[in-house]
Amino acid sequence: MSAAPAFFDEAVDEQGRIRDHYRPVQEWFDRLSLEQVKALEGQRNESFRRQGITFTVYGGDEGTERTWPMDLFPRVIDAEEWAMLERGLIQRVTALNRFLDDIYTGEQAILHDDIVPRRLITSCTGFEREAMNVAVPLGARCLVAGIDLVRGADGTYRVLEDNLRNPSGISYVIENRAAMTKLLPAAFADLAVRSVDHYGRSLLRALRSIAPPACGDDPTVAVLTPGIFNSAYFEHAFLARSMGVELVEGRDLVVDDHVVAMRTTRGLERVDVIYRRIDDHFLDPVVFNAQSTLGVPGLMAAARAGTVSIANSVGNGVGDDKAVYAYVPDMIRYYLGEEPIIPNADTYLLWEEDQRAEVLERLDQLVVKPVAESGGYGIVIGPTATDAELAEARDKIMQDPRNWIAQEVVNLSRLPAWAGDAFAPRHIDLRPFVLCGEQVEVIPGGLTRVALREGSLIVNSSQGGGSKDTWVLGRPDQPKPEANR
Amino acid sequence: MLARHAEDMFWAGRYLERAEDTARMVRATLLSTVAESPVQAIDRMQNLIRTLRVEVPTPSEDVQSMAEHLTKSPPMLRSEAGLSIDVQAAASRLVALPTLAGSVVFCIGRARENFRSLRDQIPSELWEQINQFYLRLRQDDFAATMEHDPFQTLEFIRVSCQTLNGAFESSMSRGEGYRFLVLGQNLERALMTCRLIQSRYPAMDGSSYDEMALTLRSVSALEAYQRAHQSSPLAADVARFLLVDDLFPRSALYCLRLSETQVESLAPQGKPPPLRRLGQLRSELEYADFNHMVSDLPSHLTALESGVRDVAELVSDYFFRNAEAFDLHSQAIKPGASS
Repeated sequence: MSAAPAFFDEAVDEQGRIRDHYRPVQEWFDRLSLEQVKALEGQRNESFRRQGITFTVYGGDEGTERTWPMDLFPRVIDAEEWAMLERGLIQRVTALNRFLDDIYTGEQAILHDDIVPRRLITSCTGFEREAMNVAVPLGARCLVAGIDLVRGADGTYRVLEDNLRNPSGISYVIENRAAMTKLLPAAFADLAVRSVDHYGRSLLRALRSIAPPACGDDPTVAVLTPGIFNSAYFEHAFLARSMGVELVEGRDLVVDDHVVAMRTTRGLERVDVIYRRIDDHFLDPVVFNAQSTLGVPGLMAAARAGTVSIANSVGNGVGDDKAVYAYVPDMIRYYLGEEPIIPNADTYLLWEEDQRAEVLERLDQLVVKPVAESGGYGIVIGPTATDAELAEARDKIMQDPRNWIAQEVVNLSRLPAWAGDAFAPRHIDLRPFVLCGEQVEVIPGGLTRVALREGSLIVNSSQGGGSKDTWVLGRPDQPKPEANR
Repeated sequence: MLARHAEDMFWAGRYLERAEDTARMVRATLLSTVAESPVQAIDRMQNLIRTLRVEVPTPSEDVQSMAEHLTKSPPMLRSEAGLSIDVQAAASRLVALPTLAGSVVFCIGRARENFRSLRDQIPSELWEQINQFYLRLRQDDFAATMEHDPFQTLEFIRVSCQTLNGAFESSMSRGEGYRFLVLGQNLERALMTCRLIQSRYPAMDGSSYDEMALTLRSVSALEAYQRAHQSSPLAADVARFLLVDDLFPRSALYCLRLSETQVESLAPQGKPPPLRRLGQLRSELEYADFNHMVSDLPSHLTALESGVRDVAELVSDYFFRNAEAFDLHSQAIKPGASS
């Protein structure tokens, strides 16, 4: 790269002054000595290690459980900015739910009206024919959505990705906050940081709201996990614990006459709502992958019969396919008659011939992504890729253009993070979590991910990324909404 | 609760107990060898290895060869801690060798794995305690610490185990999970006490105070015994105390009673097989004529041990595999009880 890239600094304005909403935090950190920071870092590591707050890195053996990397310097979002984001996220997820319902149980009006090309949907790997005509109460197909937001050089928030299948990270949002309140209680002074602690209750309420109507007013909810070797097992257990429901594996469940039940010490007990953290293709060996031992034979038939509700719904992959993503602003206009509040990042669809030609010209300046992956896998970043990597990407695009998109490089915004001996600017993004039940609710803040290596734009924890606690400031004149629940 | 969770809880209880008992026995044995001749020391260590019956195939060969090795070369060297080197090496392995099924490190690792799959069921305090304990045992210098200062290390293990017990006693609801944990713990404790008498009884017969004291110390019973019996101990008295004392929490009878209480409240109704077997076993022990029993102690102990094993099997069949045996079409699926 030739010219120095411009970045948006979260805490500092163009004149180098600390932004208002960061002033108390910045001043508090400025008062800390090197020794104090190091002591806090030590306490944090010890506490995470003792609590076993870990994530699993595949490929190692003994060292596969790593403690969660949380940077001490929090991200702060002021009340007004958050209000805008909250509206934008609710708008976006509402439209996506409408879209998914339209595709799977509606008239596919958006296809008939040529807003979204039909062949885009039928060619989508996330489009599940098994989910056709399986109704979901309240149409809450994305019961939990994680929407990745970034800020480019101009400071505008943009949606980089929608995660509508099994977005993870919420447990770390809550654990980060718990750790920060213990480590730096004084830094919160008078800031009226909005609480995230109620997530378990909100999730449970949303899950109960989609229970099959026939099961009465006290439905049984369970969390379905692939087991303790899954990288997100910590989160699965965390969610079951914070909702007070059973954490089941596929082998704990049986389906008889379209009724799902779990094996207990006193025989079989009916389950009405399953919050599954297993991918679609492992959910039911009868209709999906017959080799899968993680799933439950007959589960899809039970869902189709309407005796059990599954969240998130099967087939949501059609909504977070990265080529479909390009059409989300159109969906918002189509279903809601509104202009999108949070724009998309500039995206090129490589199956469109003219766009492909342009992209292939400038491959070294763009980011190329496979449409159906998540977690940062398969991404080629033009400016830092080798010639060989670019050539390989070019071949892959030519072979299967439907499988790829390209985006302008977003120079993620920066925020100070601890770099061993001082705080230094590092790139960050944000994944807020949106819950849909009877109403749509956004948990204040979300998971801020940070690229801990200098200059790096990769924030994924599997690839050297860390996280930060995210503080949404309340309006001093308004009571905190969470307090009323 | 889920059958799988119940089973994990039961085994967590067994492994915790096994770790704690092993540490106590190793400590008592090492203490007793300090002032003894090497030959005597080796004898006692071999006896301990027999008591612990380290069972799983490959690693047990390790212990087997350890026992043989001890016989072949009477060691004269003494370690830093003043113990016969070979005896101390054997003790270190029983505590710190992760690949030896039954070692303290192994048992705590298993208990932690069980608790890890129960993280949504158990109090965070309990999880943090076992996690911290395990991480300490798996630190690189742990085996060296055990070599260097065995008594301090064994003390640390005992205190850590007791802290774990305190954590669940003081923070866990007395629901099914707690009861399966306590059941596992007490069945394992009964087995360990039973085996201790089996292997120590011949050595105590007509012999010195030291042998009696070692037996009692192995289950932390010396002080309790002395308060209950003023006269100098006889082997039969020691055996009686450890088998049928009403008040001592590690006597076989006490453990069986406590187990019975758990199964009674776990059983939905009536007298399911594990409860029947447990009740029979407990009353045989409780109402036996002890003088008659002591005349053929080995066969009674063998019967008791296999009885406890039966109970564990029946608990497993009835509670953990129960739902598998259900005939789906004749058994109504109950509405969920959780909220």
